[in-house]
Amino acid sequence: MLVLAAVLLTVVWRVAPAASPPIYDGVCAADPYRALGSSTPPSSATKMYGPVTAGSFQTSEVVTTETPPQAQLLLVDGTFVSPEPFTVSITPIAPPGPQPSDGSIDGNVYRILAVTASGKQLNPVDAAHSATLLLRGTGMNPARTMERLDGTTWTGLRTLLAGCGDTFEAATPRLGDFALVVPKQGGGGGGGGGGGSGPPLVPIVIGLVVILLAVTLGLIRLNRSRSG
Amino acid sequence: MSSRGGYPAALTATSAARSGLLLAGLAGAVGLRAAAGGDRVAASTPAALLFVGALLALAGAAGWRPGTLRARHVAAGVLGAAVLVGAWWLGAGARLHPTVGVATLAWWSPVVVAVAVAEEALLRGALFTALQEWRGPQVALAVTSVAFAVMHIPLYGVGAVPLDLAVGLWLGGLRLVTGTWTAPAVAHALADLAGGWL
Repeated sequence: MLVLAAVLLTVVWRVAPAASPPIYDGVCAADPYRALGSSTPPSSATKMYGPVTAGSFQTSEVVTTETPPQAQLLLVDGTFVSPEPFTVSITPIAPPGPQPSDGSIDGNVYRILAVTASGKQLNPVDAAHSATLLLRGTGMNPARTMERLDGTTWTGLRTLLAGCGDTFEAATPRLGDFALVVPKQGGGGGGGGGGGSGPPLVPIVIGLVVILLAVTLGLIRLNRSRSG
Repeated sequence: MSSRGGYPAALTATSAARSGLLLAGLAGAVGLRAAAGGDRVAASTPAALLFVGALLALAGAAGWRPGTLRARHVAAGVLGAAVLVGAWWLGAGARLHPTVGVATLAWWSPVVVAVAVAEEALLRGALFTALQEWRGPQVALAVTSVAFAVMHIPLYGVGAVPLDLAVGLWLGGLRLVTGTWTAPAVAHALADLAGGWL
């Protein structure tokens, strides 16, 4: 049983996203979000690779240095093919002119590029080798959607919540400019705090406390009847 | 008198009720943490401490007690943590995330340990015992492992379910082998600490 569980653990780690936080669980130690133009600017990240043939590119990641990282790019085996060395970079940029039509940008826009020594831009070889991008937002409610700027239009990607709660991930077959977008129905902009509509918290908290008290009393009675 | 698994019927009925109440309580505690944590629940220390209090209250009300700390159980926990950290290192060794500063770790560490210990007190302590009495060790292992995985969804998303399910099975296996909640508690706490200190 223990051997099986240990093997399962190792296997899951091989396929789990890097965003699985503080290894397993616990409270996330998260620094305040670093916005472009603030006194503590966000970091960039670059990684250089040598020439790769089909299938020879090995799993890799490019990660910014915040805690937790505000941008992470996860690349699987065979993602890129290039006869010359290339560099993958993550760079926070000023918001481009076109704005998302379905909401407002939360946090920074990040430019994710893979560029060869001769200036050619690379993309993942095919959809099966899509890159996984994780971006940290300034909050998690409402849930953000990761979008990619395609020319003048922002395209939404299938986005999952990951990491320390305010990190979101999406797979993308193309690199470019990416941002998290707060949907218009969520109310105010992407800044932190309790903006936007949502269920009333105080009654919910009170209700849950009442339920917990009732359950606790029920357990005490059960325990007494058992020992009595 | 009919019995299940060698336990008298009255005991199994009580254990069934206790199991149900503990699971309901766990759901309530997770909901409370999510509600209190607001927009950044996984990073909210007040919500985490509220969660710790709720879990310990539930476990204590169900009759769980810490018991005597024995060296061999602690040793089993340390070995258990070594496997958890080793699996992370072997499986995702290239994915080290940046470490935080020592000042942050100074307050973060006791909070993380408190959360881990409270989760184990309820899951592999009170709930495992109740389920084992009611339906046997396999059901106890399965239910507590699934509960462990599901309870982390509001914090880390569904992406973390496979990993937390595997961890739940490992910690539950430690509980089965050692017969005590101490070993999984030590393993869980050390593995969580490793996430910040390594």
